[in-house]
Amino acid sequence: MSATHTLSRHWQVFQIHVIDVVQFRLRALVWFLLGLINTGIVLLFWWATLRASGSPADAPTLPVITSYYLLMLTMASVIMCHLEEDIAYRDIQKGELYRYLLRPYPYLLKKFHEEIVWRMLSGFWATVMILVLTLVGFQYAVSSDPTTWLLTLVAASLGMLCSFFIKVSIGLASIWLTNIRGLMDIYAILEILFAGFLLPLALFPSPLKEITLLSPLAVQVYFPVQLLMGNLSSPEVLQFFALQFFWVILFFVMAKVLLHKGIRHYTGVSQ
Amino acid sequence: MNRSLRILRQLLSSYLSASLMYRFDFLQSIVSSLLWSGLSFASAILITSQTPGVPGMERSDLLLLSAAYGVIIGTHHWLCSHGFGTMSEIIHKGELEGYLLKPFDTLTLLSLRNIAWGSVFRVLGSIAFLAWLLNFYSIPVTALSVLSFVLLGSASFFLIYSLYSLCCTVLIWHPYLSNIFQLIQNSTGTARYPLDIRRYTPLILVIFYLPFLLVVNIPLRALTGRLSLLEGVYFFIFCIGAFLFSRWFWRRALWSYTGASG
Repeated sequence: MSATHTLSRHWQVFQIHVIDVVQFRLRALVWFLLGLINTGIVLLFWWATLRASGSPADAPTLPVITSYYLLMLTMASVIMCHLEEDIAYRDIQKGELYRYLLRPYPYLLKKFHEEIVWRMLSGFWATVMILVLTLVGFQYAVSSDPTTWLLTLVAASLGMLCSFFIKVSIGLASIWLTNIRGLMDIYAILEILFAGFLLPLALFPSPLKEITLLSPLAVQVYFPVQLLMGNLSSPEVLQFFALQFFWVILFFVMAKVLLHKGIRHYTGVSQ
Repeated sequence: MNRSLRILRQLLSSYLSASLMYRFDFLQSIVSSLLWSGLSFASAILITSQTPGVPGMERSDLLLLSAAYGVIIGTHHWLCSHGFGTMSEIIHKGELEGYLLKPFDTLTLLSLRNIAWGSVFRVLGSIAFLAWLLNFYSIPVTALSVLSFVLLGSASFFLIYSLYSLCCTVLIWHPYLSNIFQLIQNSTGTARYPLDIRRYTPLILVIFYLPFLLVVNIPLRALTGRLSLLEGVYFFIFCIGAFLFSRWFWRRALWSYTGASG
């Protein structure tokens, strides 16, 4: 099969998913609003405390903290994948997985196509928010260096891959566990606490800060945001990229092994 | 009234039997429920470790709010939240007519459809933690303030019920919008932040959060003796108004229900 033919096949699959997902654009808006509501209340709390206390010297400034939370929201809407429930309930519990297995297209790649279109649509709503805020005069505290922007793009792509493989692994765990609600809840709680959505990880008390910065949660959204804001030194950037590669490879292998072993275990009997 | 109570008792015992039948699932729901409760406290500790201490927005305030949140919202999760969560599927699959034909109020039946007994442990734990916090911070509590907390907490329950109901009613027009339930669930999570935020931020930014902030803040203020009688009365009227409006909105929406399934 020629490279052109392969590319055209992938492009066709991608287009089908675009048509599918665009039908549900309001759903993507609701997903984006979920993040906005959570980020909004933390941001308002920061505003209120900083305004009431007259912004003490040791605290972050209002524009910096506002930029941080808005960038976290924007990046999260593009990077964070949410396919674990779909895999667990639709594909495994309802027995839809066999359809994918019969098709001449890799299951993980198909899922990736589906997810990337959802991320693009969420990114669209995030862009709308950025445009509106820019129009009302808000200036994001971001780096103006083009190399930093390019590196952020690479970091965001790796962050998305990391999130994708983690969520695939969680979803596939339902082949053995049947009900993964508890696992999903635990991951969601860890994500809220340690991915930087509640508080910038640099502000965490030691040694929690050092442990969290090494975790796969930190490399997904927090690292690209810190990179874009120009808060990292060159050795820190290198260290984060090395960590990202490590976690992506680890979870890629985990997802592949779980899928391989899971298919042997999978009965195809739905609930 | 007697009939409604009998039905409620029947639903409670049916779902308790169902929960005990799937023991591992029940255990998992208890753990999940306690973990989410723990998240509230961990969030309060983490965020106040870096934000400047301001009266009304200090660690003690956030911890008290988290505990009161666990009592009020936990009760809602126990009784109604899961029922609302299944509404999208019922409407999307065109199964609502089955419920409309039953000789019981449809919205009440739908909301009580999936009573989550695992959340009871969260409510009990939150009550114990709230009592401990009040003692730890030496906050005086009288019988009257406890009674006010129970009364206004019940009003809050109806307010949160109304907000869920308003949000889920939109499903009649947009049945595919199943994640709207997560939207209201997430919005309810903002109730554990202090109402004093309003004093330092523009109203336009905080207006969306206000009904949610009131849900926990007002009963807690009544418990800690920081609520005037007039504020309490206004809140009570607001809750009743929201409840009546949500009932009207639901009945109005049913006119648009087609029964076509997706």
